[in-house]
Amino acid sequence: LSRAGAAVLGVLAGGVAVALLSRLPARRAGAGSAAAEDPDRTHAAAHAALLARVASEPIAPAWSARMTDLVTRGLESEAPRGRFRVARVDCRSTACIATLEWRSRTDALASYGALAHALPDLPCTSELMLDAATTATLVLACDEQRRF
Amino acid sequence: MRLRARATGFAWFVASALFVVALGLGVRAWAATRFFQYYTCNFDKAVGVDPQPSGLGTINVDPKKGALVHCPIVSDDAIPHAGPNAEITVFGHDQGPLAEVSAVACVTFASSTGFFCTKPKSSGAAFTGEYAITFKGPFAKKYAKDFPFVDVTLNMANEGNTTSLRGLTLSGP
Repeated sequence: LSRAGAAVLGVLAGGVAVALLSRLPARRAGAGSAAAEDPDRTHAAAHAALLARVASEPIAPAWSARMTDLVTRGLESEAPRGRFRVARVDCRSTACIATLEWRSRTDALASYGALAHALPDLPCTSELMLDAATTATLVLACDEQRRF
Repeated sequence: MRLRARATGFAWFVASALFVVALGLGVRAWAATRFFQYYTCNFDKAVGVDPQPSGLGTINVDPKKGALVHCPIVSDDAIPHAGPNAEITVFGHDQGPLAEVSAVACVTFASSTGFFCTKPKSSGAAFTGEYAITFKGPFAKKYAKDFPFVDVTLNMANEGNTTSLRGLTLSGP
């Protein structure tokens, strides 16, 4: 084999190696997510588990009262534009559950996305799940009790 | 002599293979950042969007109304949004010390109706100059199959100050 031939083979082998290396992380991620995630079940189950966990939290009176007020006011300021009603806000010691109701499924689908940025001043993750009808539960997980 | 020639050929094979691997990995590392241009975003209350030569856009914000920018993010196996190494960054420029920029990284659920959002992050204390709001591993290992987006809220404390949003990047492993 000539030097040129060896170099060409080397380039080809290198190309194959790069292609294989490039696929490794994607394969790992894909394998992990496929095993761990059936999105339909995972999201609904995870949301149900989160609701149960928050509902079982003890109530820290001062934090709960302050957060209930902030969350209620924040959501109610969005309510006219989003055409929803704030049915209930339940804040415990690190997290809150807000129940929101729309008149129609169409209204709900049109406006639930705006709730992603409805409470920009609260240092909390937010997870919203709309049920089959016109009600959604929004869970705000704040990790820690802070003064706002 | 034949052995020596074989050895030389093998050395060329190995050297060229290593060169290609190094080159390929270098290119891959460079390419593992994806920029998002603003034509992919939706605007609410923005005064105008000026395209830049780089392809990124500068958004001028109404001092009275502020602006909300909703940017879907393209994510795939090459640069995924999920995983601890994913990084989403919002770049911008504040021209007055009274502007306020906050961003939140979210996913819309692919097969059920809902979303998850990280805690909001802001550009920090009011200042003049460049800022970068970075979310490192915003979704950890969850939400790999969902659709990521960023919502950026730009507010002005009073008239006479401007703030600009230059672009978004998604970086992967």
